This record gives sequence, structure tokens and C-alpha cells, in this order.
Amino acid sequence: MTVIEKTYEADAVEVNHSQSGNHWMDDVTDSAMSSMKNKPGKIWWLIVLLLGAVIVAGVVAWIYQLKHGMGSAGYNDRSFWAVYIADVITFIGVSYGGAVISAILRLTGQSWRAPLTRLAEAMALVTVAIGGAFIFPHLGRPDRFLNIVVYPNFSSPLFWDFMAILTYTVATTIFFYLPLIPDMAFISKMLGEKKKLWQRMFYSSLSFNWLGNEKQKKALHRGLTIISLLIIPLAVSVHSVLSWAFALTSRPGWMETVFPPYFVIAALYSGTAMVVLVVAGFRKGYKLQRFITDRHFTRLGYLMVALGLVYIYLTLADLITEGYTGITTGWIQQTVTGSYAPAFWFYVFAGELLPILVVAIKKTRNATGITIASFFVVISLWVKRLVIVLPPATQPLIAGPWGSYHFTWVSITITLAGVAAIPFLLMIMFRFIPLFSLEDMEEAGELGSIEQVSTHTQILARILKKYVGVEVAAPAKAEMTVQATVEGE
Amino acid sequence: MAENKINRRNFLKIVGATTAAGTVELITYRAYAASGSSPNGWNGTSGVSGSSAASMANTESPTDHQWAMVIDLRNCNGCKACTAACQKAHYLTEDQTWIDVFSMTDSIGRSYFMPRPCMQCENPPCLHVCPVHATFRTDQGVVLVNQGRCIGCRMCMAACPYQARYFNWNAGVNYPSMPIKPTPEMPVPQRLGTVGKCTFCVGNLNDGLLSECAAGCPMGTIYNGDMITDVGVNSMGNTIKLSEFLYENDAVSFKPSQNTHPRVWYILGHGQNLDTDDAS
Amino acid sequence: MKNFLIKSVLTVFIISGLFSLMSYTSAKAASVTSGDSTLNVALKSPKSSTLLLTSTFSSTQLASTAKSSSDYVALYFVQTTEFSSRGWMQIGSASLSASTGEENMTSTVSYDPTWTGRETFKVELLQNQNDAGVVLNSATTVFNVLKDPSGFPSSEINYQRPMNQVGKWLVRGLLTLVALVWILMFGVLGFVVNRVSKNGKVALND
Repeated sequence: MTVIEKTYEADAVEVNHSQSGNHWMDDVTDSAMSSMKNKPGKIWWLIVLLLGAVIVAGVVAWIYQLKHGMGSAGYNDRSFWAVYIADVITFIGVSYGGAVISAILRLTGQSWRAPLTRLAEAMALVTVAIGGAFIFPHLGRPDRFLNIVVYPNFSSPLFWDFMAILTYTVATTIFFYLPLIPDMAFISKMLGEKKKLWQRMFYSSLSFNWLGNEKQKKALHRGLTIISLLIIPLAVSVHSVLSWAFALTSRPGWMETVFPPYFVIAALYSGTAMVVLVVAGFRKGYKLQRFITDRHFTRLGYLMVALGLVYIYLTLADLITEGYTGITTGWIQQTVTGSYAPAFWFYVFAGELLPILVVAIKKTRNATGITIASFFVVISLWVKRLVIVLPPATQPLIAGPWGSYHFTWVSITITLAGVAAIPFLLMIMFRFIPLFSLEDMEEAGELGSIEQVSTHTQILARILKKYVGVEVAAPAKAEMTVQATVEGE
Repeated sequence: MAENKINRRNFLKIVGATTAAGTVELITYRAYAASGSSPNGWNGTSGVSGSSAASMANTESPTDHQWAMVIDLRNCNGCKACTAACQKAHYLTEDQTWIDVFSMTDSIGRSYFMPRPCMQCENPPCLHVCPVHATFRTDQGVVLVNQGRCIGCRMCMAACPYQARYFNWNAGVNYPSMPIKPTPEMPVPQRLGTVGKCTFCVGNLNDGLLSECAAGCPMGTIYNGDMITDVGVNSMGNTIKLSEFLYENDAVSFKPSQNTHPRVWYILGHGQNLDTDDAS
Repeated sequence: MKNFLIKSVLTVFIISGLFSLMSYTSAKAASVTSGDSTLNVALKSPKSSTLLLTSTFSSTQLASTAKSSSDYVALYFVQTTEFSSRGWMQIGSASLSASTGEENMTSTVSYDPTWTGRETFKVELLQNQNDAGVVLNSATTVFNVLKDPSGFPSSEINYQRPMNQVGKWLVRGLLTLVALVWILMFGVLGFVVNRVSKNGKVALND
């Protein structure tokens, strides 16, 4: 029993003794289902309609752009790439956040990820879809999009962009779907015989006879581990290849060795911030404060700031390598002191210094503070993408003045529609699926879903169940039980 | 100061000395010719890239011609008649300067003019990055765009180091009704949402005519050339032996560090520095 | 230099009617007499593709204007048909071989023809030092060049495509990798779905 005591000491944490495990799981289920069970209120409808209106406006703007040409979006020969490609990078970038929270935290056995995984994965799926959709306004002839399959040029970075994004989207979908299987079964059971036809089709058929037995759990775990392992290099590849759409040209400011990691880190950074925003929104909207605590936000905040520091390091590394030799300083001057300086310094202050300060100062290191910081991170990272895209695109390669890009109502509306589509799609989506992965929550337990509980403790729970015959609902309860057992002997 | 008088030849030497620093974008025709082994000292290139390029290319005795161009900057007065002639022939908008004339500043501060058509690179970056093979290279060494296939991603515009590609941004341009459908050789009318660029007027050349810009130049600045027959002709009727002319006049190609191997050669004469990467 | 194979050399015709071989193209109006000069074109050797152009000027005509043959230069041209120019493309120049006083002064240049068909050559005699631009005498002739079509520069691609050496294998490798990833993804999905539904059914039947 000494072993058990050691484990107990290692994981010594405060436990709310008054809670019983099963009651807690009931509460989890209630909260997770709150988005589905309860009829949406006025605020929900108001928000959804408002967002829907923005999306409709975006579609109208896109139709206008199709009819009048991309000139109506402010493009010209001297700024041939601008806002839409920045949108593509930004949206697909934040999608990466889902992979981080879910896959990396899953692989590293972070039990506190449990209440976040579903929201993060859903966000990943939604944003990669939106980001992929932004390729269409970016193209001059979206009607010919399939030419990329019919007449592929393997030496083009864009072909590999297409492959990488497509593969990543499929992986994200599977990664989103697999943890849904137990939930689907649960909902199917819960609805019982009252099921409408579509519900039967949707929930029953997608749950594949899930009963939650050991073999099924084992298969699900194994599948999730493999997909988690796969989705990380896939996301890295997506952002590397996206960066190579720039870095494989000879344009000063784009032809940079640092670009692939630069883009990957930017994606992780903005993605983590986006997870915070989505989690914060749903936490407030569906009153999930009990399950998603300040601790979750501070952890995400630490992660975000760490990534932010790597990102600004890469930014400076990029600027100084080209700036020092002075061979091609035009775009650097434009970025740091020229017409893009406001945008660049906005990124530095709002996108880097602000989150560092927010996390560093104890008073602001809470859900509200980190949510505000995340908001600025996401915005400033979009601005940063524009700063990456525009100065090298508009620089004169032969002689003459710099080109310039001017926003028009078309490009602004379409971009806003993409932004609005994130909460819109998520809100609609969570009318049909639970907010938490019930399986993940049950596995993590009450304590584990908030604090990190080591695998030792979880093994302990299993040992207890098998040899001592003590049923533990959650590993969090293991410590108490152990204590009791030791004392009892 | 008499000793410091900069003439073109010793200026080129000065320029050549700084090449080591990697900033000078000059390669002389001589160096280029020295590497070649074909009859006239040319690299007889006729790489056809793109799956259907062969069917697209003008198949009229393809390897009988390898089109090239010489731009004798000594003659250019910056009148932009070439641009106007090109735009008229291809019904382009004012912004679409398939051949543009840049006002440049030489190393001692004087200005000179530099017409810039598509360089018809032998190693065209635009071709390599096109995801759908809409850009292809004909047997005659001309890089063309199939506007019927282009998806409008503009990756080629990003890749072109010569800023030579132009997009059709706006609908509502008044195009004439043409008796024949647009072809890569004669992309008229331009199609909305696709990329266009200088075609070298390859139809003209195959018909035994000068390109529009060369014909329209009142100064005889632009020579159309054929690397197979080694003939070059300008609007003044001057006929040159291309390889000899380039050799004797120390012709250079533009931005050789880009590894593009242009088919357009420049004859300098104003002490130019063709390094323009840093145009700010 | 085996790019050219001149199958038929039906020379040539000459000015002044000195002699007139049968010409393949009959070379009617292409020959122009101009003064006391002749221009001969012949293959350098039977197996080569290089032409030897030889011109002869009567020295009697020149004696009055210059002291020695080194004062003269003979410029050789070929008439181009491209670009509708019908211009004369200079293909070489040579100083005259003999000194003043000899009967004829000759000069020779060699030339690799670059296109097929009738090629009209011209030689001009200029006084190179004083009145460089003044043509003292000239002669033209026509030569028919036939080519071996396969002899022109082959269509080998000699520019560097990106990652030329590894490109083909890189693409195959990458495509294989993508295919493997897809197989893995759907394999995992299939595995999980299959296991879950199988174990679910078994459990239900128990």
C-alpha cells in the first residue's frame, strides 16, 4: 500500500468531498445537452439571425464580385494578392487551434482538456471549411476550380496546397466525428422511441451500436490516438505548403526560409487564441463556468503566450536577415516605418505585448482578461497576415512607385461574412451535438477535467476497482478512496 | 575628370566587379553564348511544358523558329508607342501594359527608358507555379497563357520577377466582337478573371511580320529575332545577325540571378545598372 | 556542325555572266550585275554545311581610288525573308587578299546557313578607311539550301526545372505519401466503426 500512498501524495489536490461522481456526470450531461434540449432563446435567435444576415450580405457581395470582376474587391495588378489570401491563411490557421488543444493535449495525456475538446474540434472543422471556402472569392475563375484536379501541375505549390488542405479537412472531420460516436449513442438512447425520422437516421446510424463496452472504448481510443498523431504533421504540412505559395516565388519578403515554421507557429498562436474565444463564448452562452474554469483559461493563456513569443522571435528573425544586408529593404521599410507600419505595430502591441502583459499580471490572468487578449491576438494575426502579404506583393520589382490595396465594401463584406460564419455554424452545429465529449469528461473525472491528473492516478483507480473492489466513478475520487482504505486498515 | 570618364565598356567592368556582391543583375550575352553548343551559339531550347502544350502550340514547323527579342536601349526615347501599339492590337485596358516602358535611373543619376515585354523565359517561373498548366511554353520558345483554362489564382503574377503579367480585373471593358475565338497566341478578347501577358505576337512572327511593339516603335529600338535563322529585324528595316549583334554590343539579359534565362536581350548604352530588386 | 546537310548544291550563278551553272531554283531575277565583280558560293567541303563565299573584284576598277587592297573591305550579306523585311543581314566581312596591281582582288568568308531555301547573297566593296559608307561595287548570287529537317536543334529541355534531378521521384513520393495518409485516415475510421458496431452487436445479442 506504500505505492498507493506515494501516488496519492504526488497528486495531492483539493477535492470537493461533498460531490458524488455520478451526480457530477449527470450535471455534465445536462450542461452538455443544454444546447440541444432547451429551446433556443431570444438571444440565440437574435444572434443567429444577425450573423446569418452578415453571411447573406457576404454571399451577395461575392455574387457582385463574380459579375463585376475582382477589381470590385480592390485588387489590381500591383496588389494581386491581398485580403482573401490573408483570410484563407487566417481561417485555416485558427483551425489548427482545434488540433493543438485536442490532439497534442490528448497525446500528452492532459486530462483538463476534456471540457474543451469538443468545442475545439468543432471550431477546427468549421474554420477549415470557411478557410477553404475563401479560396473561391480569391480565385478569378472559381467555376474552373476543378481544373486543379483535371490538369494538375505537380510542380506548383498551389496543387500541394489543395492536396494538403483537402487531406487536413478530411482528417479534421474524422477527428471531430470519432469522439462523437459515444455521444450519438447517448443521445439516441436518451431520445428513446420519441425519435423523429431524421433523428433516428442521424443519431442511431452514426453511433454504430455504441454501448460503451471495453472493446469499443479500446477501438475508439486506438483510432483517436492514430488520428491525433496524424493530424499534427498534417496541420504542419498545410501551413508549410501555404507558406510555400509565397516562399517559392522570387519576391523579396516572400522568398524566406523561415516561412514554413513562421506560418505554422502563427497558425498555432492564432488557433489557441481562437479556441479561447470559442470556449469563452459558449461558456458564457450556456453557463459552463462550473466545468470550464479560470484554470482552463490561464493554461490556454500560457500556451498562447509561449507560442506568441516564438512567433515574434520568428518575425524579428525574418526582418533582420533581410534588413541587415540591405539587399532588399523596400518591403521592410514599408512594414516597419512605411504605409504598413500602423498595421505592423498594431500586431506588435495588441498581438504580442498585450497578451504577454495580461498573462503576466496576476489581476488580469483570468477568463475575462485572457479572452480579451485572445480577441486581439486573432485580430492582429489577421492584420499580420495582411502585412506579410501586401508589402512584397505591392513592391515595384523594376521601377516606379509602390502599388497599393484599398479595401472595398465587397472585400470587407465577404471577410466579415467569413468571421460571422464561425459562430453561426458553431451555434447551429451545437443544436445537434453536445457541448462536451461525454466520454472524455467521464474519463477525466471531475477533478481531472479541471486539474491535471496523472495517469498514475488513473491506473490506481483501475487497480482499486480490480483488486480492492472499490468502484470509483472517476479518478478524482481515487485519492479519497485510497485514503479511506489506508486509514481503514 | 577626364580619366574618370565613364564609357559603357569600362562601366560594365565596374558593374562586373560588384557582381561578386551579388547585387548586379547582368549577364552578358557572351557568357551566355559561351555555355551553348548549338549552331549559332544558342541554346536551342524547345521545351514544351504542360500536358497539352503541344496541341496548343503553333505547330507550323515549330522548330524552324526560336523567337527572341533585342531591345536596344540606346535608341529608346520613352515615347511608349510600343505600349500603345500593343494595347491597340490586343484591345487591352490602359493598365494592361503587356509591354511597359519604365523610367529608370542609371548609376550616375540620369534617367533612361526601358521597355519591358514578357521575357519569354526559357526557365519560366510562372509556368512552374501554375497549378493547372494554363501557362505553357511552345516549341518556338514562347510562353503563352491559355485563358480558357486559367483559374485566376495569380500565382504566376507572384512568381514573375519581371512584373510582366496582368490580370483581367474588371468586367465591362468594351471588347470588339472577334471573328475567331480567342487563342493563347491571340487572346482577344481577354477573359474576365484570367491572367494575360505579352504573347510575343507569335502569330505575327509566324506570318513573317514584326510584333506590334517592334513595328510600332518609331526609333527602331525593338528587334524581333529568330535564334534559329539568327536574324533580327526592327521597324527601321535594319537587319542584324542576331548572335553577332548581341556579342558585339555586349547584350545583357535582365535579372539573370533569377535563373529564368530570358529570350529578351538588352543592349545597354547609358551606363545602366539593371539591378532593380531594390526599387525603393 | 552536322546539323545541316546540304543535299543539293546547285550553284550558283554569277554576275557578269561569266559562267552560269544550272541552278536548282533557276535564280532568275535574284542575280544582279553590278560592275566588274563576281560572287561565288560553294560548300567548304563536300561533307560540311559551311559555305564558302568568295568574291572577286577587278583591280583595274579599284586602282584609281586607292593605293592598296588593305584600304578595301568586302562586306557579305544574305537577304532575309523573315519579318517581311527583305533586309540584308551582314554575315561577314573580309579585307581583300591581293595588293594593288594584281588583276583581281579576292576575299573569302565562310558562313553556316541558318535557313533553307533560296538564299540570296550579296557582297559589297567598300573603301574602309575613308569613305566607309560608299559602296564601290557589289554583286549578288543565289544559293539553294536544302536541309535535313531532323538536323535542327533537338527539343531537349536544357533549362533547370525546379528540383530537376529529384523532381520526378519527389512527386511520386509525395503522391504516395498523400495516398498513404488517406488510406490511414479512412482505415482508422473504418476500423473504429467496424469494431464499435461489431462489438455493439455481439453485446446486444448476448
